[in-house]
Parts: sequence; structure tokens; C-alpha cells
Amino acid sequence: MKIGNNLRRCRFDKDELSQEALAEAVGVTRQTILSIEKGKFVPSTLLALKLARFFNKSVEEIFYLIDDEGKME
Amino acid sequence: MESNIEHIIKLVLVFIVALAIVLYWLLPKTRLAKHFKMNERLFIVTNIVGVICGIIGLAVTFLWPQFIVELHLWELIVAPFALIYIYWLMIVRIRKNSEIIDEKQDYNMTKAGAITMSFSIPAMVIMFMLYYNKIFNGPIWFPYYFFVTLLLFSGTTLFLFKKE
Repeated sequence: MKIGNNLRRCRFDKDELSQEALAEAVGVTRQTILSIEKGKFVPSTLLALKLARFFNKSVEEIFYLIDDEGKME
Repeated sequence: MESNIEHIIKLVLVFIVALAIVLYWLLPKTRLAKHFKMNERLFIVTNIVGVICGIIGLAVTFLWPQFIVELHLWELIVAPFALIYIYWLMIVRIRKNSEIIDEKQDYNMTKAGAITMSFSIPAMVIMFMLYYNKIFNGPIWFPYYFFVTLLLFSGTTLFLFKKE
């Protein structure tokens, strides 16, 4: 099971916010945001909550589970 | 001649260490302190310097094994990396409440530490074989181990940070 995310879409919905600006807002590096968007790095609960709060969404609206067959849950 | 070079290197090292200590205590009290902060570029530069120091250190260890310890060359080679880490410590001192590295950097460094440990063991087996067959002698196992570890750790951290 993997974790997928809508982070890139959330950024674009928020006036095409740059990765750098988002990184600065939640206190991480741009590389961390890039890795999360690519699905290579799974953020901690703390960072997931910070991202959700920043976009004024719930964590589930940004992050979702992908089962072994590639289906979203 | 060797003795003169050793004295010069020792003087340079004492100067570097003294300057680092003075700057460590004085700079946080100046107006410059607000400009000192950890960022992605500093993290990358630190690891690039670690890789360069590691490569140079290993090259000197194998090319001039008789000088690397006796002339204190290994301390001179590692000085740039050590100075950057002192800069990190200065940032820790100035920004007590903020995080110095983010969670991905923390994760990458932890993983790099585990990878470094698993590769440094065979590296030391190689050094043991070189000693056992009398290809090397004296205390060069130390700079060898030191620079292998530095190279592996910095290189792996940099790779994981960029690729993972």
C-alpha cells in the first residue's frame, strides 16, 4: 500500500504557489515538497497536518491511500 | 624540510581553530547573526565539501601514506568540512527554537548513516588485508577509515537528498 497526494493540484489551486513558497510556509526545504509530490517521500503526521492547515483542507483531501492494485481508497 | 612543513601546517591549524572559536563566540552577538540560518543550499554545500574532503583525503592517504599523519595533513584536509559544521553549531546557538534540518534531511542522513556503516565494514576488511600483507603499516588506517566514512556519509546523504 502507498500514499498518493494532491499537493501539486493544491498548489496550483492556490494561485500557482511555488514549491519554494510552500516549503517556506510549512518550514521544510523545497526538495522535501518536490519529493512528497513525486510520492518518493512520505511526510510525517505533523507535516501532513501543517500542509492541510495551510491549504485549509482536511488531511484526507490532500493525501490518500493507493492499494497494491493501484486503486485509490 | 619535513619538520618545517609540519610546523607550518601546525601553525595554520592552530590559526584556523583559534579563528573558529573566536567567531563561534563573537558572531552570534553581532548584527550579522540575523543572516545566519540553515537552508537547503548550505545542506548541499556541506555534503559536497564532505565528498571533496573525503576524495582528497583518500587520495593523499594512498599517494603519501608517510605524510598524512606525521605532517598533520589529514587535519588540514578535513578543516573546511569541520568549519562548516562549526557554522552549523553557530546556527543552532543562534536559533535555539527552530529546526536546523527538516524531516526529509533527517531521514536521508539516518539512512546514509546505516549505508555508511554497512560499507565501512568491508572497507576496513580491505585495510586489514593490506596491513596483514604488509602493504601498509603505521597509523594510516585512521585517516583511511575517517575519509572513507566521510566520503560515504556525505556522498550518500547528497544522493538520497537529491534522488529520493
